[in-house]
Amino acid sequence: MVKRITRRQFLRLSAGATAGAVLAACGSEPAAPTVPTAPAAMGATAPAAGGATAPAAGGAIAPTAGGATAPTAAPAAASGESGTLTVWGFEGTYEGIESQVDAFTKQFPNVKVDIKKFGYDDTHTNLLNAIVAGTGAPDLVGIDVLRLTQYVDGLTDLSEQAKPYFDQFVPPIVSLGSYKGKFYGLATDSEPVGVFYRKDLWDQYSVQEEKIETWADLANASGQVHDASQGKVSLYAMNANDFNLFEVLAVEQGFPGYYFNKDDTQVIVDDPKMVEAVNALKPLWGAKGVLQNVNGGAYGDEMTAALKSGKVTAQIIGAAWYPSTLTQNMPELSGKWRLMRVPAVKKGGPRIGYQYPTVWVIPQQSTLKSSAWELAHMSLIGDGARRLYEKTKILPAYKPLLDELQTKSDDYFGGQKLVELSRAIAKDTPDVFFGTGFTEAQEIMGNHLQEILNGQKSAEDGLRAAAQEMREKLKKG
Amino acid sequence: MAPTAQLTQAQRPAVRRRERWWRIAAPYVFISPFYILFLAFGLLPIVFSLVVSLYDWRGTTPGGFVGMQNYQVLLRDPTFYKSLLNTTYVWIGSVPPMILLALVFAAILNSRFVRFRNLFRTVYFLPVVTSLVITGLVFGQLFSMSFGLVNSALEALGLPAFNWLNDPTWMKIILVLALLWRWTGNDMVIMLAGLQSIPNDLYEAARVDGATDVQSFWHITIPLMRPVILFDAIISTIGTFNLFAEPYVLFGQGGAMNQAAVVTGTFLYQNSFRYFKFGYASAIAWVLAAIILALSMLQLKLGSREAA
Amino acid sequence: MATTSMTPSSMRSGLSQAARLRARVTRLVLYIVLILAAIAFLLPFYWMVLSSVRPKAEYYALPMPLFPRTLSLENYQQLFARSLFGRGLLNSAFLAIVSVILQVAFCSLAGYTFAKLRFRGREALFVGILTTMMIPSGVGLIPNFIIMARIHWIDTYWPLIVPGIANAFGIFWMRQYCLSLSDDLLDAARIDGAGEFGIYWQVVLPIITPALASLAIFVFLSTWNDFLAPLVFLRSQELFTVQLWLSVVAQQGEVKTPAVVMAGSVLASIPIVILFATLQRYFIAGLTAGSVK
Repeated sequence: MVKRITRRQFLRLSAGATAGAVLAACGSEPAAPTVPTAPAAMGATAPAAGGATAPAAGGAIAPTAGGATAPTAAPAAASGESGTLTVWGFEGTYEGIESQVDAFTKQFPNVKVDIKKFGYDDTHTNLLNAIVAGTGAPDLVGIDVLRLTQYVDGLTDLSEQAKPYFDQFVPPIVSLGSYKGKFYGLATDSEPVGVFYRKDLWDQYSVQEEKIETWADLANASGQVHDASQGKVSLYAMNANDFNLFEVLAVEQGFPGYYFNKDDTQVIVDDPKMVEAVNALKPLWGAKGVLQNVNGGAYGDEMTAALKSGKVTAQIIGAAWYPSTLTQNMPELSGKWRLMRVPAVKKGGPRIGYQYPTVWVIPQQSTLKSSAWELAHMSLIGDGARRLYEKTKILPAYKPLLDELQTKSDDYFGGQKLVELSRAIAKDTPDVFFGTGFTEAQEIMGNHLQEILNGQKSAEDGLRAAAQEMREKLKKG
Repeated sequence: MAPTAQLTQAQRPAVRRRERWWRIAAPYVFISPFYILFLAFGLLPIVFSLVVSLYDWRGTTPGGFVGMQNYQVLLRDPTFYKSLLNTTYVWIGSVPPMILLALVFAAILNSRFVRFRNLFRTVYFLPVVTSLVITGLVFGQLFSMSFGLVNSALEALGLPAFNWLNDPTWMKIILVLALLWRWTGNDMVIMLAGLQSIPNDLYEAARVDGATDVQSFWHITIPLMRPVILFDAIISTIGTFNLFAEPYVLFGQGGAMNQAAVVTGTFLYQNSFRYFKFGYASAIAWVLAAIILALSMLQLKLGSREAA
Repeated sequence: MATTSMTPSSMRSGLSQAARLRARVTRLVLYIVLILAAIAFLLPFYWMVLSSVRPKAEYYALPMPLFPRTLSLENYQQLFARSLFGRGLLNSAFLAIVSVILQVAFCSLAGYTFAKLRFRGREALFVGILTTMMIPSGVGLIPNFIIMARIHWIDTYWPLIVPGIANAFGIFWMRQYCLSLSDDLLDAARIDGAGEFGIYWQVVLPIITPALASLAIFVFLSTWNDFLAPLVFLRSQELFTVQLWLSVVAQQGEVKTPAVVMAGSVLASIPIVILFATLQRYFIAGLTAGSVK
């Protein structure tokens, strides 16, 4: 009985396989970025600056006439477009666009803005599906920069449009929005990493910011706090698979590609300097009193509960979103928080870290590319940037606005000039970027890090195993 | 009836031929809506994925033809084996116990001792009406470190709270508990149906012969329930390997704690929708399908051999 | 249901005191076991409802009390503020009802055909359907998406309704039930001159109502609870179903607030619980009848 069926099934499968092969061939169309969108379709005005649009890059847009300083770019370039501009975003991104819609519609009355809101995961999945299927992609979408490389084949190269504005943004923005020479998206925010801590609790337990210069100092201070509070209070929290923390040290050790080399062709996690970094992490994990493995991460309700009750006194995290998280969820702790730089691996070494901003990208499928560009960069420059900041309070990457904000002192942080410090940290950060397979590399790193921190493997062996797994799965050297 | 009687002599053969033709064609016509849809949206995508598994499809480009490479990498992938191991643990913890529990409870509810059968049946079946997402959410809440019922109860008793959701062993146990809660009622009702088809005379005869209820259960009920138990075992095994929603909601796509709770379902999802590696993911799916098929055949063979 | 066995008086005197006591103790033990199990099964629901009515201000007052101190509906308010949950409930209901009608119709017809009509290739075609049940469902998702995108069905309800009609389980279920139909009855109808479809419509359908009812409930349940398909195929919030909203709300917020999701879970479960409680008679009867060989 079984044998008979398998034969028939096989026949059906062969027939189907042929059909499938045909479908696969059809399915590969959208991937090949060869169809240039006719320049005539967008922007009737003569492309004054820089001549003809280069179709080779896969549908680049007609550059707006000379927009170096004038933030409100020449509207005439995009007035030829009309229709509905679809924008996708997740929480924290679409608000920025929402705050621009009025101003945008006034300038471009022919273009109607339709914002679709999704969850973080869903936005990324849906974008991928749309690009693969060749249809259904939005005109503008905000994605997490560490997933950028997963989509580049389906995104528009914005180098021409964005180049005039590059020097108006803090440096890492350019490199992290680029891949292999092309630029895909401007970032809405800048995420330098620092240590947010409770000054009142540190004073109570005699911990001084100035004394914490290396990670080892932080680990020692943890023991100090544990003893002084009879085990009730932890200086900081840490996860066994904390790849976020690892990434901070990676940058400090001189690896702006985190797991990869500058060309994104090699995995470098087994480099001796990485071993050094992991050996610096070990005492942090083993320190007395560290709160281990809090469920839900930094933005989960467990951590919030711990912070509110004073069970944990510090948080090592990016400074873009966190201040507003604190002010919104713990208004009662106003005045008690401060920000400091992350410690260094070795005394006197770099004290930097950088996490993951969101970038606005324009899929190639879009037929309203110029308008999409206008809308995106409107939200990041000039008045638009200020509107964005007012609404979301997320640290901007736009220098003129930063110049303005860095003079302000923050009551919630006891009068500290938060933006000034954040900006300084960002300034010292090298040109970080996120290569292909970044998400997977993070998970792999997390798994092996756990084995190392739990003592199952030495740092060398663990990193070597991690590197090997990454090389095989990510197809890198 | 009337129509054929009114036909002329000449027409009758034609009508009979038409009728005969229709009697042959009708079955195919009846199943064709189903089959057309099935081929288009069921079979075609599956075959397509088989083809895709031979390509290096990562992200948005199909990439090149790589033959069996995806399969080779998969068989060297430590995460894959971890997921198989975890799935096996989950299977051991949920399938045999669930069948046993379902059978025992069904037997109790079927026995002459118990009133309020319908009420109990409703209560036990209630979890089945919740969605898998809700199941994961609720159990995540129950075992939450600071906000969960379990830790609140422990602290009320003066015992220390425990980080259930981050302990490698307990993560699997919690998943098993969620599954038992969610699906036992379903199994129970099926068992109940099977039980009710066993004639009462057998039990009477046994009782006259002096058998206790436990003995009757062991020697009459279980052997006669074999087909139902077998069906249940096969379906549950397939379900365990496809398990995705509950672990995903409980532990996220990443698979926390060095993937202590990654099961085959989440492993597949992770590679398709998080890493966007469709070639690899398709290979995973087909290898899993082969495993499931093999296990089902094995269960069938074991089941029928015992019957003989 | 009888609490004591109905034995003639002559035999009853033969039942010793010990035997009767044993019976009573057994009954007590069984009841205890059943009640404990019932509590275990209801406990998660209790926690779900409790978490949903706890006011936000008390949320961080740890440890969590086992019994409510104050009750509040703010989580429900938050839920409706953050989502179109009411609309979602209607959407889910609409999809479920449509799916039920279509799936029951097509699966019963096909199931009956596989069970009772003889035609070439019947076994092979049926087993083909069965074996595909073994392939992980995630596999077909991307290819399906591509197909749907090409025919412009994305962000509509079509992908959620049409492929579901080809429900392998539904056919299996109906076939199983129809196997027990009497062949004589069907032959008699044929001799009387009824057409094949007429037989299905007038003779078979009325008999298999319990199986239809239970399949209906089963389809309603699985459509209502489906989360992956709406996630992949829908874009506009007005079309979102209830399960999709739960997932969205769970991802929202600078800090995750499970209480709001619990509120959503309660609301999403209530319609099903009511449906089941009122119709369980048919459901369980259908399951019973279908499984009896």
